[in-house]
Amino acid sequence: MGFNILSLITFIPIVGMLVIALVPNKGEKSAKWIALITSLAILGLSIFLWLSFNGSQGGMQFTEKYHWIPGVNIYYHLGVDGISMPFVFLTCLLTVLCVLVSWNITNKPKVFFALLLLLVTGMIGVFIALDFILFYIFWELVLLPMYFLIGIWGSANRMYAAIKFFLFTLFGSVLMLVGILMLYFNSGLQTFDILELTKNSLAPGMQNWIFLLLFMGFAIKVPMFPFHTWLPDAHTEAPTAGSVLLAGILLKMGAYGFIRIGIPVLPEASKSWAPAIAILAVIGIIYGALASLIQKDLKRLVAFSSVSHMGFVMLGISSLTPTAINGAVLQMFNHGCITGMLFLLVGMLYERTHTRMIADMGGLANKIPLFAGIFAFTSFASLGLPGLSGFWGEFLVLFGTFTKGSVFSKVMVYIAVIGIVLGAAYLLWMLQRVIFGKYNEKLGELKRLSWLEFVTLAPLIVIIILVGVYPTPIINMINNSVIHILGM
Amino acid sequence: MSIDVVSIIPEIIITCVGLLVLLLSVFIGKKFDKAIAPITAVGLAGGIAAIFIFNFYNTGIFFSSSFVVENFSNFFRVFILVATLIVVGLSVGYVKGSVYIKRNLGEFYFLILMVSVGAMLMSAAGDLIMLFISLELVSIPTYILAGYEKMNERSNEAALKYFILGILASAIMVYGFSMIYGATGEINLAAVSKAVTEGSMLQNNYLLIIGVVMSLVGFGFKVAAAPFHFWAPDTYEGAPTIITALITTIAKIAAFAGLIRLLYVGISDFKNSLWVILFIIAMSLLSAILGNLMALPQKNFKRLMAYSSISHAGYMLIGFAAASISAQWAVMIYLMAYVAMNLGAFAVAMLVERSRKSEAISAFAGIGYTNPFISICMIIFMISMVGLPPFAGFIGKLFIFQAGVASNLTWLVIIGVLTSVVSLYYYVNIIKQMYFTKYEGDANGAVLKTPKLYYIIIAACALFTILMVVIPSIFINLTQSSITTAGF
Repeated sequence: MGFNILSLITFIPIVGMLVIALVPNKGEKSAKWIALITSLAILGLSIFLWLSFNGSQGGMQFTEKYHWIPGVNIYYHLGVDGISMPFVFLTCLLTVLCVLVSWNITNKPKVFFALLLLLVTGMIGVFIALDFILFYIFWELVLLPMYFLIGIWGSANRMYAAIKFFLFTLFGSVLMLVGILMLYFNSGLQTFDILELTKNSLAPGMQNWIFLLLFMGFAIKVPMFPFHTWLPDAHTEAPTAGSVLLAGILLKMGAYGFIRIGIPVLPEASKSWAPAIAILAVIGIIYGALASLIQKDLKRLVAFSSVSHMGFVMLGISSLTPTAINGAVLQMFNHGCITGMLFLLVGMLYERTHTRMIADMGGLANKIPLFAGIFAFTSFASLGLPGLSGFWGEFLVLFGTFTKGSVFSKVMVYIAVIGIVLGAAYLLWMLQRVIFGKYNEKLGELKRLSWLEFVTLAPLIVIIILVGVYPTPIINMINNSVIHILGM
Repeated sequence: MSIDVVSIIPEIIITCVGLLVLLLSVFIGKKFDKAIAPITAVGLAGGIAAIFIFNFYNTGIFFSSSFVVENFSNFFRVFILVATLIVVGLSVGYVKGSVYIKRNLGEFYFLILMVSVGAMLMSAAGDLIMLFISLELVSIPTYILAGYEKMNERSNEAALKYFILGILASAIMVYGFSMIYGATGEINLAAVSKAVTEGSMLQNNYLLIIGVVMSLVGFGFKVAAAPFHFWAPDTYEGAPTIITALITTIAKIAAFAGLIRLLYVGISDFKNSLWVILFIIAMSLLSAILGNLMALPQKNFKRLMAYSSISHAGYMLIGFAAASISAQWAVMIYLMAYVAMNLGAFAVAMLVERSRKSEAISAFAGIGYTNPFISICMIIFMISMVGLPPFAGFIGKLFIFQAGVASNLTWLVIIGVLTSVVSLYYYVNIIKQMYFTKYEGDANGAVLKTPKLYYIIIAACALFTILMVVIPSIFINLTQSSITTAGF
């Protein structure tokens, strides 16, 4: 690469944010155009990056390493591999879609788009940072914009949700910081570099302690049961763009942390913690699904479904086999697309009906058939219908866990499969109540799906079908990097 | 003899400027008032220049080893003068709105300059007597300054509490010094450390240990560390806000510089002393926990800042408990970040006090929309105080916690980070007031009137806070080359 593409992708949004900030007040309209241009630019760069990416290679590509704080061995080290590549692309894509879905906001659009762009930098940075302190800085960078996004543009209970989100995730992050410092001193390597830390020689006891600290940071973000309580409030109260990015990307940061750092750097601890993580993951799958079943609020239902789907991801990670981890990463990518799309749809629905309560809806298929069709399509993808992308993630996770052979893994799979059935239950029942049945006349006339909204949904529909029908390229890319990591 | 005088030319300059301002304001009267602040500022700038001209290259020990010129003292003297310069700059706008300060402007600036002279002397103190004298020179003018608003009972209360408790603390400290002298037979700090090491007095000489602990009590009072913090909330709340800013920055810089001198130069292997380290750990624990917990219910901004400064003292004391060289420069970096954030925050508070006529946190309502630039800077200061990246507070905490983990104080660091999470709540509360609360008051006070100098100072502090993260190497190299040890 003649130019540092990763740094460009990471920092162009900040440039965009500064441009929005400096445009004078009358530039309320220009803010959304600047945001759109910026996000399209990084989307283009990320597609270019994916096309130039060598999927058959397992290690880091497009790396950049510069001295930042030489005195304490902190480098500005970026790199992308088969695991992080899908997420860089997904972040850029979801950002464009969020800008499009927020196109018509009237409440302080300038500040909204500026915060959105700042959030994007943090999200992309997490996936490509290879120095632990840099990783931590990007990890924390997403908290403040998300707090404001929820707090200013959210729904009725937004202040509570925003501060709960901030406090809860910060609590995990600072414990992660202590873990990072302990790694620096106890690994015998005096480095913060994630790739070099994998060569450490830590005793298993010390590994367990450090893993516990890192676990707190990652588990709260995923979110794993029982640290998930911030998620329903944050997802429900956030504005549409906020929910899409929260569910689509922020949750993935936690699981990514396990794969990038937990397993390679602390292998013995990962093995000893794996059963506990598997149990919590399976509880999360069942609990999330059961909680979704009883929800009356549509957005809260989708939020709990995220807990359930991320449970599959964590089950795959805890199995520590290549197939299962491939499934986990694929499930992360798929969940980002599918649940991101679900939140987009719920947002569009809210704009029409001004209610999130399922009881207030019904018979939408009569009035807005295209919308209802896409909604059904997305629900089928979410429950893991074969032929759509959601199936592959869950299947590979279960397959990889089951073929481990132990009784424990088999039992976990048996219980997790019940989660799939429950998933079908809450999604199909929700569909039945929302798009079928009698139309609730109180809703009045509903607008048909507009051209802009269709353009927002189309890319995700294409991806879901594409990955569902032919997932081989993406699985191969992920697989090479997973084997590279597990081999260490 | 003449060479000795050259070393204190900066102090002489500042003292002369102070006396000049005092005498001229007595003899010329009211007409002189406008010129006082500019003359003070020029004098301070001259002092900074003098340090570079006279002291930078002529390091050594002067005045029969009571005044030490070296990188450490030069760093702190420049730091103190810059901080005083900012305080003087902020005071120009502040005194316009006060009643009693305006009547006695010459004395006001004279006292401020005396505080800075005392602080400078403290950082260059070579023996116990100099430490005590300079500490008194810092304290006594601040007692007077805290009570400057004569008819305000809060101000009187502040001054009286500060004075009585301060005298008590100084008495305990000088009693401790006398015990150190009694145990070692020396007052020169380097000689004390030699005697202590040779006689391994830290292990078996209880006279010395009690003496050191008692001096720690005195210093603990000055830095507002728990359990010696009881003066802080009332004094911070009652004193005129510009003096609160002075106490929280310059008096703290002086006290920490003096503490570094006493511990690292006077008792150079204090990390081997169980009692001393235990005492520091106890102070740090109590400060971090008490300071953060008691800040939660506060409704007055200055009182909140008092508790926040107690908690920051707690974090810095973690550095002292670590007792290593890296801890020393970590404390210096934290001090730099702390002073920048605090001066900026207090500047904003002074603007609010002036326009909204209230010191309550609720007076910050709605500033996010009336004064966007100031509020963004305030967000930077508040988030920096929590210790979140990408701001200076994070860099400060990172290095202090790093030093703590390196010295096997990981449990203390964990408590430190957990209390930082608690602190998020009350700092974000201020942000909440600025952005999420409507201003319901006199329309006159809606937009804060901001003199140009305030804009410059607030912007400079915010820029410094960001700069510390973008190019931290400069500051790290600066502090690493400024450390002081017993063997010079």
